[in-house]
Amino acid sequence: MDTAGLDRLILEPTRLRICGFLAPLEEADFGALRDDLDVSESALSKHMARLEAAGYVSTRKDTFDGRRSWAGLTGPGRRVLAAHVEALQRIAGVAVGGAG
Amino acid sequence: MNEAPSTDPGEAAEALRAFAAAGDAAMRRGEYSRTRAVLVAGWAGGLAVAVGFETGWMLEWLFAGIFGLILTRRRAGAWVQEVPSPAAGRLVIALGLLFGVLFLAGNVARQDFGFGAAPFLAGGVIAGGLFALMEWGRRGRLRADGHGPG
Repeated sequence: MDTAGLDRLILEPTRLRICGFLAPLEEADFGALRDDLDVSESALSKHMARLEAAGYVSTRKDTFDGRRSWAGLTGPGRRVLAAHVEALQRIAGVAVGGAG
Repeated sequence: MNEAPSTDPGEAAEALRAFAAAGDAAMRRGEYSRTRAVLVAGWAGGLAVAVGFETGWMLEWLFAGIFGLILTRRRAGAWVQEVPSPAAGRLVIALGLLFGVLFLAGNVARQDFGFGAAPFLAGGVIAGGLFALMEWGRRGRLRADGHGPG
């Protein structure tokens, strides 16, 4: 099975969903991520910290409200995500198209 | 410890479904409506008219639009990537320059050539062009997301 492109960090389901949410967006605030993905504040912060440390996501404080934070995928993050999704599609395609 | 990550086909399929669902949720929150596109286009056209006639409310109109845009984005908590590639960025810059020329042309045509309707014409072209551009982007994103043109 060709697993080239799979990224260990985004393989984690919640982090993949976070990246999936951010993929079509310029940025989103943490509240939107928390509410729409149904993730707790603490879990979200932990996952975002790991994604940011890897350089996949960048975060910033809101200009007008310091309690609010915004996040967006970085260029490298988008490339890694694209390769990861492509790898998942290849792997899932093996299951769909392969002999029983 | 350093073995390559792996997953089985079933998990991969489930991961893809979760990924797509997250993207759908983002689009529902971050994509702007056609009504908003109309309002933004109308604002830009109105600004062209204001510049063309050098009205006293030019700056207020400009800042009202910028304020409205910021407020809309903050309320939504998310915003679609409107310039998804360097090529799209270059297109936006080129169109921005073109709109800038139209802004000035409306003013010059009225002042120097006595063409009183020029600012309205410039405003109409800018509003129509901007709306078409925004709709094209919006429909493209909706199609890519599998929702069809909205």
